[in-house]
Amino acid sequence: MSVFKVYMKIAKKNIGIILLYLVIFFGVTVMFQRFAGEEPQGYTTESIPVGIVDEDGGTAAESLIDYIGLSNDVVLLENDTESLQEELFYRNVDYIVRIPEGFMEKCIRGDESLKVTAVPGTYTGHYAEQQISNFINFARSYAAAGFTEEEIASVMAERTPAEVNLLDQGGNGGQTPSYAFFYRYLPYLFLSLLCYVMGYILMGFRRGSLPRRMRASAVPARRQSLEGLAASGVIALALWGICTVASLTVYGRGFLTGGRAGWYLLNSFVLLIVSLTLAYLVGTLVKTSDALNGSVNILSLGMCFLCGVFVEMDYLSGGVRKAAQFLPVYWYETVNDLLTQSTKIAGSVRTEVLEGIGIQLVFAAAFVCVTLAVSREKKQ
Amino acid sequence: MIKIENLVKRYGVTVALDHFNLEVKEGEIYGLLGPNGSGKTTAINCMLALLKFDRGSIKVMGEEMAPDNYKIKSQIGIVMQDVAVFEELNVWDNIDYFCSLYVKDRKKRRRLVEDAIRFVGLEEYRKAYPKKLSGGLLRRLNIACGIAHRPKFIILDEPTVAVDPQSRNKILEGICELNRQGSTIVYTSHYMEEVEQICTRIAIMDHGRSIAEGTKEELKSMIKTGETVTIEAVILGGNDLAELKELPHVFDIQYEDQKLVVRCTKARHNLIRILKFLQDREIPFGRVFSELPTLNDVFLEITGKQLRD
Repeated sequence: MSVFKVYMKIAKKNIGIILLYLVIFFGVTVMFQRFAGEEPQGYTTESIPVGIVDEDGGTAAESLIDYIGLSNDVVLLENDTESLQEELFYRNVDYIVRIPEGFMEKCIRGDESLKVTAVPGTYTGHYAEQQISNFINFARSYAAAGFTEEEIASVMAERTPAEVNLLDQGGNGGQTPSYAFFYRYLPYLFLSLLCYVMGYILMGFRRGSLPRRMRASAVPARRQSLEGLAASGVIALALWGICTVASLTVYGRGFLTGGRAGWYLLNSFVLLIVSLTLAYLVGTLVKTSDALNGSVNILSLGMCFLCGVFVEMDYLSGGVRKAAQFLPVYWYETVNDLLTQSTKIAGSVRTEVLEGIGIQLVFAAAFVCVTLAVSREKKQ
Repeated sequence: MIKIENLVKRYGVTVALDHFNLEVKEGEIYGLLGPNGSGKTTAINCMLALLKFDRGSIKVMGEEMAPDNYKIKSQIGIVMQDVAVFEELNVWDNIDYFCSLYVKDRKKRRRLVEDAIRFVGLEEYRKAYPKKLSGGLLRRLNIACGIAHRPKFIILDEPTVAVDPQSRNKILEGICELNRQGSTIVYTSHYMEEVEQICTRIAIMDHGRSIAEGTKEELKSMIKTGETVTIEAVILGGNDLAELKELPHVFDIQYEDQKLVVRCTKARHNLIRILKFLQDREIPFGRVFSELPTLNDVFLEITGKQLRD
């Protein structure tokens, strides 16, 4: 196991870099998790102070005041221009509605609009305006149907706000679970770390006349390759193990009880294989440390930005997404998104998940073929 | 130990080895001498089955050499022209690694590594990394990595390139010591002095062929030159040169920048005759020295060019 041991010794020399990448990865994950937590996750209604000057005092006017009051704070005001301006200036109200005398005749049966005043530069007035328009439109419809003022008021009072039930497919109440962030950023860690460490080791084995000296030795080339593969596998598995243990420790129950933990682990394991094969290709091609650093950064950051790791896939343009389909990380993230959005992995979702995993394996096989072709070409 | 017959190796239209023959007997230090590009390294790569060849045969220790003949490979030590060690491993780990490719027993290997370190004089640098070693020390490490497993047959491919004189002497002494301990050695170089100093038999290579082979004495006896007389700071006319060439045993004269080089066949009093010629004509001269033929003279006479061209 001489070759195996040297692989491990050289990998050990990179322990500083490995720790640095792990710290960066966990730092980035925590940072993005925190930012995501601060983002508003859904639409919430807002209650604004609406001032009302009721010059009518009739049943229809009262009905309108009650309707506005359902979702806003109503402040009844006197019809005094100076005090109204003060109310707006001091932001006691955001919006003032004047209900004119003869409201029913003028505005509901007739076409006259209500006079309104809003604080300039605010959007909240639009909510009140929308509610008033709703009321007037409904009332006009009822009036056209022959309803009296009292009947209109009674019908409008019975109208309750519509209820919308959110379909909670992910089982997280519309929130992205924390472990989803962890698994979303995993490609950066796997790609950068494996490409760097494996590239460094393979570069060492290809330096100068070393391959000739190795081929001239008493250990068969096949055995040398197998020992190298075994060492690479151990290094990759150790990395995967650290990440799996970290995710189980940090997210524990929430992760395990979701019923998708196995799928997340399988997807990350396949990504590990893809990263390892890509690392072999990089290690076969690069000749210097500078070239290795450059390649690792271009590959890891490039794929992570294009394939929805650092920037959510929904924010990427159609063109970028199409191009990203030619990269394995895109399929990893697609599977991850499916896992995040679905409570149960069954039926078509299961098929899509398996397809994504399969495509990643095809990429891994392609990388192996290219690496073998490059190695053969170099030997010749 | 090794027998190569009619070896032909082509790189496209370039013939690197042209019906190359070689026979190294057990216990010899066999020198392959030739200028850069003469085919020395190609011949070695073929011996180690690192290169496929077009024609001919190579037998090592009586067996046909093949890429999968690990029994033979385990008896061979190779010291490459370029330093072939891991920059990421220290001196001890490097030697231990290359030794472990041949010796599995850890205890035995530990002893062999220590012996190799002592042999090349790297005792003080056990924990040093290659980047911290000077060129000479690095070459010694390169040798230690190739010989630590005590091979019967050692191939050293220009191991002293870019090495300081002190390290070079140490390396050459080490090679003789390895030979005394029982190893058969093939040593390639384009430094004729080294080959003359340590090799028991020598093959001179040019354009992929062995153009002469034998002991250094045998090689030197093959050529016309018996003595080369050089006289510096001498001013000669055309007539002087013509008369000088007529002296007995003189067969070649070169005169350039007031430096006269006279080649004579093997005879007594060549130097006295030439000096008397100058004295009789009252021609003043500076430093005078006489040399016996070198391998460079052998190469020069056979190929018409200098070994270091």
